[in-house]
Amino acid sequence: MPVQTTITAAPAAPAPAKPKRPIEILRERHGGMSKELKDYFNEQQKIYKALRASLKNGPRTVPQLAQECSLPSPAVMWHLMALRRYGEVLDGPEQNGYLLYTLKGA
Amino acid sequence: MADIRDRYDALVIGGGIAGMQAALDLGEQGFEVLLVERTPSIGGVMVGLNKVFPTLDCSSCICTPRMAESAHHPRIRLQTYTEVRHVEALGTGFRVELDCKPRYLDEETCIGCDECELACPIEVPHEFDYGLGARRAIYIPHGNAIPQKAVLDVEHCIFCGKCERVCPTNCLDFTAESRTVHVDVGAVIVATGFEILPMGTKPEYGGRLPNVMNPMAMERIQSSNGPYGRVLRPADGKIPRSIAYIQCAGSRDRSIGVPYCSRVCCMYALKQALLLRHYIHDVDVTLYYMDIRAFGKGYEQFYRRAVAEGVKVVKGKVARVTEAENFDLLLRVELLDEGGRVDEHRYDLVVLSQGLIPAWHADGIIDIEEDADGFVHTPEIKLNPSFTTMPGVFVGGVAAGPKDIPDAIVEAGEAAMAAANYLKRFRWRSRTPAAAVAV
Amino acid sequence: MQYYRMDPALSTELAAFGGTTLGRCFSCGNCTAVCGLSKGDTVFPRKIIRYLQVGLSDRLLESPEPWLCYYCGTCSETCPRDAEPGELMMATRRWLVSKYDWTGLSKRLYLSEAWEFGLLAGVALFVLAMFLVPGWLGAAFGFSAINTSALEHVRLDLFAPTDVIHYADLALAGLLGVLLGVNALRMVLFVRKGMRNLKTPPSIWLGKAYEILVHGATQKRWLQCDNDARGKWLRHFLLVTGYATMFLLVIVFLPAFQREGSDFHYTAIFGYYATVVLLGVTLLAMRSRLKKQEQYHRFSHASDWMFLVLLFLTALSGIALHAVRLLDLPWPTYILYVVHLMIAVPMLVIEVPFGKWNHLVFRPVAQYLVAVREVAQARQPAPAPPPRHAPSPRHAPAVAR
Repeated sequence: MPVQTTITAAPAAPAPAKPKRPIEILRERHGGMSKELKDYFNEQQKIYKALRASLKNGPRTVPQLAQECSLPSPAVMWHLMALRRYGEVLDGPEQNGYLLYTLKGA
Repeated sequence: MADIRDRYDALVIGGGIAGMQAALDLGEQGFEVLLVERTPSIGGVMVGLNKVFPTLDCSSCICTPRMAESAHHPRIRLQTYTEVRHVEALGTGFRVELDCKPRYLDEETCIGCDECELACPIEVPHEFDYGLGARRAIYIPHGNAIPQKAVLDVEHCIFCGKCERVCPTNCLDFTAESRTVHVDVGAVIVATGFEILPMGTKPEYGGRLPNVMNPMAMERIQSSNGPYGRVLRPADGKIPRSIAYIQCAGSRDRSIGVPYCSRVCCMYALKQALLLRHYIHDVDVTLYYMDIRAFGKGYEQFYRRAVAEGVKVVKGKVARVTEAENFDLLLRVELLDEGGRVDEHRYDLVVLSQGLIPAWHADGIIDIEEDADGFVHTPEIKLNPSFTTMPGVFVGGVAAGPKDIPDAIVEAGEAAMAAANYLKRFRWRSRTPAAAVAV
Repeated sequence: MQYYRMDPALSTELAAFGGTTLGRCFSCGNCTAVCGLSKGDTVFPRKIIRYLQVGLSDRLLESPEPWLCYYCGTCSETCPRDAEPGELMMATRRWLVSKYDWTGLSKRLYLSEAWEFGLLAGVALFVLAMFLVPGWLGAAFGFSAINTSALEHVRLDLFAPTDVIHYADLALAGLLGVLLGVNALRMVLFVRKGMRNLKTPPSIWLGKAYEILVHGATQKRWLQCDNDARGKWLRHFLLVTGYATMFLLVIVFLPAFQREGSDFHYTAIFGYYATVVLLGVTLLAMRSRLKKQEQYHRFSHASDWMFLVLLFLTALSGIALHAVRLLDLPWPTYILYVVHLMIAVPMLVIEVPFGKWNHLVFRPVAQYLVAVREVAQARQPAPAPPPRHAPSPRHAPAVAR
């Protein structure tokens, strides 16, 4: 399928000094990151940071992480599963009906 | 892959199991088919299911061969991530307007290596896992996706450009825009399928509570490629010890405008319940039902098997689900078999057997009529079940009304046969110029 | 084993009382489970609707449950079949009233507007006649008693002497008491039949009698309802206080309440309170019924309207009478006095014992009966409870796999 690859397909802009990078064109077309997305992204990074810091001290269950990081446990669950999905966290043995999660390489 | 031609024999709207079946049946008969799918991958709902009733076959294992067959068929042109914007009836045939959304990469050169997804820094709820799992802003829809190509969700893109830097084939094209394409076809098959009723439809069932689950999300949780890798509670990762299924949670209910029976809920709930008994040792799984409708071949036997293997079935319509402490759920029901006693019972997890509603409406796209419930109207439902109110437009699968997979396949095949007859009768030729078509 | 007679005409009969959606119910039990008042063994509406569907009139007569429902409408809102369980309960209460009533007038009044208006008009004319025909009841009052001094200033002591009106009021109250009391007794006897398997010694019946007073005075059970129960209960409670105040003022304290000239007596404050409440709440309720705002106002039977309209007109004519009396306008006062009584007396004589008003007795009595039944059941040696959630035999697989 032919795809428009030429930069000229972009809406006419005042001639720049050097050609814009494609990602900049995409950013301009979509008006940059919305404030909500920025907040969402920053919040997410904070949660990951807290989870990693907690998991460095050893295996944890979701309620334990929620308590240590003072986060709601549904949010911990979701973000932990995201870390698991992208290979940062492993699930381990069961403890009182919950699974223990470990940071990979920790 | 060659670009879309301007003429096909048939347009199939929807790349789920019914749409693929219709496209394959037409393609096998020698017709040129354009198969249009709204999402980035074909496979529909079925490829996301765990197992199918009553055989307990792995759903994706029997669905993916169909997907590959449809994608590689010489007479089927697959067009994913594309919506049908308008279908106009000509004297003979139809003029179709397509809206091809950009994946922001060249499908020819993308090799599906997933490097871009691994580089992307933002994670968002994955539609394929009904929000339980995560995906990134650029992602391959799922492991069995066809085509196995990435797609950029620009709404969640933070414009960091990392994906472009790691792509080994330089396939990314951030300047792509959606395209409008016009195609002429001789017949149309609508196979647009269903979606699950929104979880908050009956607020008294607590559909917004983290441990009150969508049945399709439960399919994902049970799946081997599911979001958690095993069955856990979404709220806190607890291994559930007691699970309740609420039947008719969004069907046979006039108060929410879904008066019909969704047909599949009894069976999928029994299937999920039975599998839960297999997955979690000695788990309490209880189905609260109005009546069990095990109507298909081998279904009654399956029902008995589920009961024999320890699934509890209790007659009574649950009226209310409330959250107790610790994310547990309280379920209020009148136990009809116990003298009408009203009982409150505590569960770790509740699955609402939500009904099926149409995923697509013809309104403003094709001039075919819909029933009051939103499914495509089939005026000759008895003898020509795939006929719509417009000659040349046929319907197959759940788009015409709730049904299970075997019925959807049978009906899609019928739609393909009816479309083939129609094309023969009007001697539509996709490869001859329009002016030369004899009517 | 107790056998019950089936009454095939019950569903058609109920339709005449306003319960037209009976056929839609497929007995799923949603209404019972969603109802905040349905607890333990006292469950409704599904059970009551089931009795209606299969024609168990006797079982219905034995059930106090319809009176425990305050029609919050949650069941109707969530009913998967739009069978309007709340309205079916309402219709059942009308039907029950017609059965409790030994005179048979209730049934006629509910089913025929001609009877309703005819009887109301009859009582109103009787009241008019009292004032028109000289020397009735052995006392000189009414229009014949108006002399020159009564034309210059309002002279209620001549037109409607307090002692005459007071005696008539007390007679009226006695009549109401007897009519309501007999019907309530019949209700108790009907429901007691349903308790034939329970031991109910008089100690229980006496020990629980206070329930009638508690629930009659507070209607507190309503507060357990869903759907903004507090607001609805408050409106109703205000109406009850207004009504009770006015009733006491005119029946018991009439000598103090009915004044001459413009001298002030503290009872007037109670009168104003009652008037404001009665006018306000009835206006709100009528507006809600017209607009079908509240769940329980979506269906309006003629008896529901009669109840509100008469109460509103009574309060309105009462306050108008009060105004013209204070303004010292003789003729308007005399005429409004008669008009006021021509509305209030028929309302009390017809609507209270035979119409919707009688729920003021039946609801507290039902609470009492349920309390008695609960105590009796608790004293009963308990039968072995069925195993929780055990699959019933019909679900057991016929053939082992």
